[in-house]
Amino acid sequence: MPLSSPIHPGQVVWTGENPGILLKEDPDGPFSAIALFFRIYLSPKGRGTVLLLLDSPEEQRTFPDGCNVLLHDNKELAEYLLETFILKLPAFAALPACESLSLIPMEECRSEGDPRVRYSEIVKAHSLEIELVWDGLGTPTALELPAELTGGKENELYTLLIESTNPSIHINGQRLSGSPVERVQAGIKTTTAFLYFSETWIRPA
Amino acid sequence: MIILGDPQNAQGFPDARNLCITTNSELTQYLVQDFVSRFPSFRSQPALEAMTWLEAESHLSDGDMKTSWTETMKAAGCEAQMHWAELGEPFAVEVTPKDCATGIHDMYSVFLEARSASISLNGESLSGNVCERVFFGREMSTAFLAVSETWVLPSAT
Repeated sequence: MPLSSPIHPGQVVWTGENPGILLKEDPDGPFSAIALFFRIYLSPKGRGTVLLLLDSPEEQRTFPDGCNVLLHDNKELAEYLLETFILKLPAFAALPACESLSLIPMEECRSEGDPRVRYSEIVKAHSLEIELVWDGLGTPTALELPAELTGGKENELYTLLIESTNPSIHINGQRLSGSPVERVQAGIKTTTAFLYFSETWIRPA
Repeated sequence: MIILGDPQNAQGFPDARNLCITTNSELTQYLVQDFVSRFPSFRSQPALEAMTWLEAESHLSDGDMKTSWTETMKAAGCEAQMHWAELGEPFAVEVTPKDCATGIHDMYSVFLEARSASISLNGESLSGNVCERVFFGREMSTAFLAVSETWVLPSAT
């Protein structure tokens, strides 16, 4: 909705990229694997890269027994995003895995591909090499959402959504099982695999 | 990265300090034709058509966006650097075609004003200082960072 002035009166909370992949083995069951990636340009804790990866979201399995991890190149930023963003999303707040996350420094991170067709994020940390792949990408859609239509219901959101119908999560070359499922965001039917670029969260004035 | 160090001079680098360093020429041609050449500050500048196109050999971003930020690009025989300092608080903008630099798009972005800035080519600073202008109805510096920028062509309906 156009503003009366081009300058938004609210406070920028953070801005960056926030793609994710949520998979289910049974469409009626819980999520079997989750990856939520952050490349943050600006936040109260600075810039950085963070990956929340849950290979067993319904279990409290700490690394290396399980791979429920929060990988980061900025620990303060990782803790900030976990507390103020991730755990405020209904899909994440009640997950047992989020109670026993292992925070591990990231050694390397790079993106590859073309967001018109196939895109990936590759992360190396400790003994882990992780590849997140978004394939079968759709047409980009710009979203402008009031706080009440967002997961956390606190902040307004500008973002660019590109849905993926064929995503995958790979840990050390092994593909995690599960498929994306349908979800509805602000009245738009989409999937649980998505690229979110140019994402800006704004605290209303 | 487009640098017009001699914007009124219809010559390219190294005869004039007018150049473009890119990792994707097709993308850059699209950006120049559909966006940059429509921006009031660039429109009708002879250097925009005459600038030399160079293939990037490297690109580095450095800084924290709290105090300063630097973009450096290298090409054969050329290192170009843009530096922003004395950064202000970030603010979000949502611009309709009426206020947009191209005149036809909606644009979403996060801006940070820089009270001081510099441009250098092969280590030599270009002369001049940032100045004030009216930007989105507010007095603001002519140096700024813009991140998470999305340009949207409004639907015809």
